[in-house]
Amino acid sequence: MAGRRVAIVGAGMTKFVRRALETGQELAWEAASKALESCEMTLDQIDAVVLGSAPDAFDGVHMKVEYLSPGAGAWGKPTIRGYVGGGTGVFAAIQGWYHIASGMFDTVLVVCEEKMSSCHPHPQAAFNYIFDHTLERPLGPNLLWIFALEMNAYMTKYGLTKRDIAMVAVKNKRNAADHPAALLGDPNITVEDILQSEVLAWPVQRLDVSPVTDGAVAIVMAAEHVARRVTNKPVWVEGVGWSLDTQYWTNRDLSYPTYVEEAARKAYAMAGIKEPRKEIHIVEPYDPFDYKELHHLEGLLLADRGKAAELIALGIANRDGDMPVTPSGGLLGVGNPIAAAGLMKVAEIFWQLRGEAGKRQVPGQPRRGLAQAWGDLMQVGTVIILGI
Amino acid sequence: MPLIERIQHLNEARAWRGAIRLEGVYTAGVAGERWLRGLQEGKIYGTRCPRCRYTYVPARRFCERCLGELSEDAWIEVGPQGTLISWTRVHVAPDGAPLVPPRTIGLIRLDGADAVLVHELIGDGEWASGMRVEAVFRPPAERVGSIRDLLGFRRL
Repeated sequence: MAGRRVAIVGAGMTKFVRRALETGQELAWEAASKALESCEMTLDQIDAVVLGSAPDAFDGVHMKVEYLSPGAGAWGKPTIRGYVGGGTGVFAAIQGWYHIASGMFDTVLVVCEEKMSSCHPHPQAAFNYIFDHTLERPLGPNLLWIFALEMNAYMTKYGLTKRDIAMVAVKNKRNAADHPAALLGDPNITVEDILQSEVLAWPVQRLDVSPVTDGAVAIVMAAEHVARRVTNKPVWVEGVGWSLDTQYWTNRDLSYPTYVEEAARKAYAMAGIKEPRKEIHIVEPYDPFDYKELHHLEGLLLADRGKAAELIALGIANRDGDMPVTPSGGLLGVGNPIAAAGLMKVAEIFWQLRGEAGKRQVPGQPRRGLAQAWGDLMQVGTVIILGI
Repeated sequence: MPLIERIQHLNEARAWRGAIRLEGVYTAGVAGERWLRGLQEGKIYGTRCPRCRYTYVPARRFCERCLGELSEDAWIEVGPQGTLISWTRVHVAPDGAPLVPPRTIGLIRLDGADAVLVHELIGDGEWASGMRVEAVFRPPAERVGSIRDLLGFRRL
């Protein structure tokens, strides 16, 4: 383990909603103040702030993290923006970790916010400008092309059916029914509901995809000597890793997320984990699409290639299974305010390991969990491993 | 020979044009919504943080200095008079065209406030920092609950 030991000592989040009256600043403040309250700390005890948010275009505010900063307690403090697209939520926690592990700061408030409802006609429209301006944009591309082509390649390579994949959406939306902040929890949803939803770009259908969401999440991180004073249940950062694949999205291995494996191997090495399938007790892989949860489980080396769907089908990934996957309900169920969704996964592992996850609590006193996110131009993997 | 020496005029280079077409549909927020309704009623509100002894205008829902909540009893009326902190006269529009007549923009600290508001200054003649000014509202029937319900500030 590099540097000083670092723990998460507090967490808070807003409800995830389709369209919030709150401004982005107010959402950030709600999450930040709840996180501080959760560990009975005040802002003057915070040394530095890490603020994470995905594209400026979503909130419709240029340099939006500077705009959000009042709500995140950044006034008069060293502050940095974490931004690796969808990977931001987990990456912001990694930044908080290295701020403290380096010895530079003892306490860091990490806040992630997204207010996607500001962006019209649809946040997807903002993504039309990630494509090459002369070679791809004249073709009228849409972000869904990438996912549809990837999902089809994954299904074809391993002989998976739409039904195999839809079971992920069912599991996560059902799990989210127990999350008080969830937008799309549904205890009665079925595979048929997923398969009968509108086709967006085959094989991707409406309920294979997470929704546009507003929300914010915050965590408080502290160096060991502070963490032990603040709480008797610190949750330690045991390993982190991140890695970037090529920007040429057509050239990636569409059926396997190499960037996730590279990030995971770094995190496992740091945590001293040799057999991740035995040593990781709960997983929150990034699930903006149902097939992506499977993809990521394989990249995390928690399932053999093409076999992650079996974990779902056999119930191993259920909350009461041998390796609970996305007990929070994930992006598919709780919602997907991009950066905030990634940090929600980190917060979920924090709550689960402390036994504070309420109706979502996985049995068996898990001691170690992993959260992962994916983003940038669909090419970054970010991984954090937490333990008690 | 490098490209830049061969191309004498920009329009000699081939170009692909593209626009980023996005529209923002914003909410004023919990505090912002209430503050704008105040303007509609001809009132300027601030919220005062008792701990930091700082009054925000426009009113905020939280104090950025301590992250404390600024709830119901934090709301106070400020102004409508105040002091000009600084001013500028703008002669060129954002698109580069001349602005005739020029606009005058000021920073105003309303009486009872610590935070400073930016708005139009109304009236000819010279302005000076430290001048006393007063808010000018649109007639009640024309107010819609927007920052433009305030026409600006005039000299006292």
